[in-house]
Amino acid sequence: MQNNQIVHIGYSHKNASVAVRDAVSLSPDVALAFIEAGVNNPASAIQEMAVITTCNRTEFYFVSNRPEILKDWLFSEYQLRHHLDLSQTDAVPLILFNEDAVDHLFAVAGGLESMVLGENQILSQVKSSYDLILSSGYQFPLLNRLFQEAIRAGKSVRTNTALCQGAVSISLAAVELARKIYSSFEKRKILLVGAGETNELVAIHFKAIGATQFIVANRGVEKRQKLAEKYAAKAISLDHLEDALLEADVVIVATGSQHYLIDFALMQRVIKLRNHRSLLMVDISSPRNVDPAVSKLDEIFLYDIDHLKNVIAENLEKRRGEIPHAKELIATVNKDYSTWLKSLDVVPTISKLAGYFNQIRQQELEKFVNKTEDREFEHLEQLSKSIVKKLLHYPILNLREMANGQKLDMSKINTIWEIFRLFELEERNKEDKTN
Amino acid sequence: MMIQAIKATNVLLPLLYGLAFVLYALYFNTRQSELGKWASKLLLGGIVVHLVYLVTKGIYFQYFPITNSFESFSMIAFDTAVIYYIIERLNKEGKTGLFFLAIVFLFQVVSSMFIENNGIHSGLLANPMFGIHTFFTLLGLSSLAISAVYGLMYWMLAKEIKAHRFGAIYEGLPSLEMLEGMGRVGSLAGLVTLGLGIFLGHLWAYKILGYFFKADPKIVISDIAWISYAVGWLVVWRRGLSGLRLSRWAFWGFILFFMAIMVVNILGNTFHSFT
Repeated sequence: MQNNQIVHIGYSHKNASVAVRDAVSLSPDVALAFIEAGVNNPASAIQEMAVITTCNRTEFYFVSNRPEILKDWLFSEYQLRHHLDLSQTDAVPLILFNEDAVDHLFAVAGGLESMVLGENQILSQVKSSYDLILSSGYQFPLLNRLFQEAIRAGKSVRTNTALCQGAVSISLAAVELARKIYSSFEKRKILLVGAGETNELVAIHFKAIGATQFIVANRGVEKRQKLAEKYAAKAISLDHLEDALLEADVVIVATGSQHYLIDFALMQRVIKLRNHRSLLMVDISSPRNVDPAVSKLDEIFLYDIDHLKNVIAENLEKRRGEIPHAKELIATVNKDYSTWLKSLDVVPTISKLAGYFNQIRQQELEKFVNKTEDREFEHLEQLSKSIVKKLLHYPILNLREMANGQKLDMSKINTIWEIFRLFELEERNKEDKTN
Repeated sequence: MMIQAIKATNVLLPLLYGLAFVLYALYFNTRQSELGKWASKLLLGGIVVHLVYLVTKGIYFQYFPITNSFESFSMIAFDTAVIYYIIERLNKEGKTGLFFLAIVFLFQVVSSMFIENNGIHSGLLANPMFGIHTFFTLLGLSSLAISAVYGLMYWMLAKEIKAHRFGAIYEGLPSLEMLEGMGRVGSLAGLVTLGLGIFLGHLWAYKILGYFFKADPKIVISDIAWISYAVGWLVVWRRGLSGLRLSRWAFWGFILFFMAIMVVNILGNTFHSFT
């Protein structure tokens, strides 16, 4: 541990173009191959290694006593495995050491480093990286703990701040609005007018919150059938839109039509036939496909793309306001990790313990200086050294093993220092040096 | 000893409800589920202490403790707390607690400040049937009031959503569907318990005074108001009214009902005047 450092080398949306990010991205199998290559090659000086790889970032975390060679090793691996010469790209990898690297990983897990602030998926991606470490079969005590703490930091940010709350995409914003009107979606009918990508995304999000009943209304038969099959939906032509509007609880309109598909007169009729049941209508089309006059009807909650953009902007602003709180939480976890890391540094304890035993040995030997012959004294000295060595063998061995197995913490180290009065010994040594 | 306990509880109750109100307010603002859980626990604690208070008082003074305005205030606070708690548990939704705990707290504070625990009351009111009649009547009124407040909340939230405003009301209140469901429970509970209260009132009059019905304006208006509300409820149920229309009905229905009772109470001074 003594000269080992935690090192981060990474590419993300902040320092690399999409092309570079795509090129450096690794599948889990390849990431595992990188890890194996690193730790099995003594020349790389890599003790531990982990990889986070998502569509927006590929990051490597190392524990090594030769951090200066890691970048070259990484570049050579990419050259070897991907035939990719990273030195020829414009992107400069972000390289961080120790506390900065730790802080960075916690910020990544907390969603602070994501392209969309507070994005939720990143935490599960950090968990996947942790699973990869575990499944690799290697013993990575420092990174193991580091990733555990990162997951804790990510959860803490999500639980205790609003950094990850509020929709930040058009489709999610539509779903979020619907959730303010209905509490469950199992029995709600979602009418999708248009069968394009936007409505497919909306369907995915509604399905995720429990919606099972979809109606797809589209001019083109093939497209509406395709989307309907995916979501076990009823497919209808636009001619039957009025009937579908009678049944629906949420209407999402996203078509390329250049004129209103739903006008005031139609909705006035529909609302009466619906017995004035509430209806959420979200018009994501541009130009709009729902006559804005429809919103004059009390029971209709009409939103267009500009309204949704405002929702997103407000949510992002709220998320930004949560950054200081999230950073505070991350700092707390970082402090815990640093404390734990320092507690692993058993070398000073071992050295002090050996010093303590040797001091006693010498003090006792001095009593025999003028009482024994030189040869006898030499024997005594040998004997005392051998006894001290044997006495210290298991304590030192166990200390090292406990440190490697993450079973050591500051309180245990302190107990050892107190039992053997190592603090006093240290003070005396300092005084001696001063005198 | 018992009277000291009654007096101490009289002070403790507003404190418990006040603290629950603060926790519900914090929960409404921050939406931290832990706060909601604690607020709910504290409310339950308040209800239990309140029940013990009412029972102890009843045993000590030998009458059902709803014989004057301030005792009635305490009973309204208790009934509102109980009905709200049941609605909250049924729906597992505590974000509206702030509004009802404000009512509970205010009624209990006024009651605790002005109540005189001296046991003086009309002998007529010592009859347990009167107590049960009053208890159910107040329970019914509290439930209808709760339903009206849910109607108002629905109205406010619907207005915010329609106007694309995403302020504290939008953030803090549960979904419209949830508010509607909670309001329905309140109005149905109110209709049933108030009906029972009114019926027990007639029964009590028959037992004590020898007649089931008297052409007293208060009785007549109360009966008509309840029947009108019940008919309104049936119409709503049969026609399947929901959303804004239902919320408006719940709100204005209660206001009209309450106004009718208040008007005859202010103008009339006959049968229901107890001294």
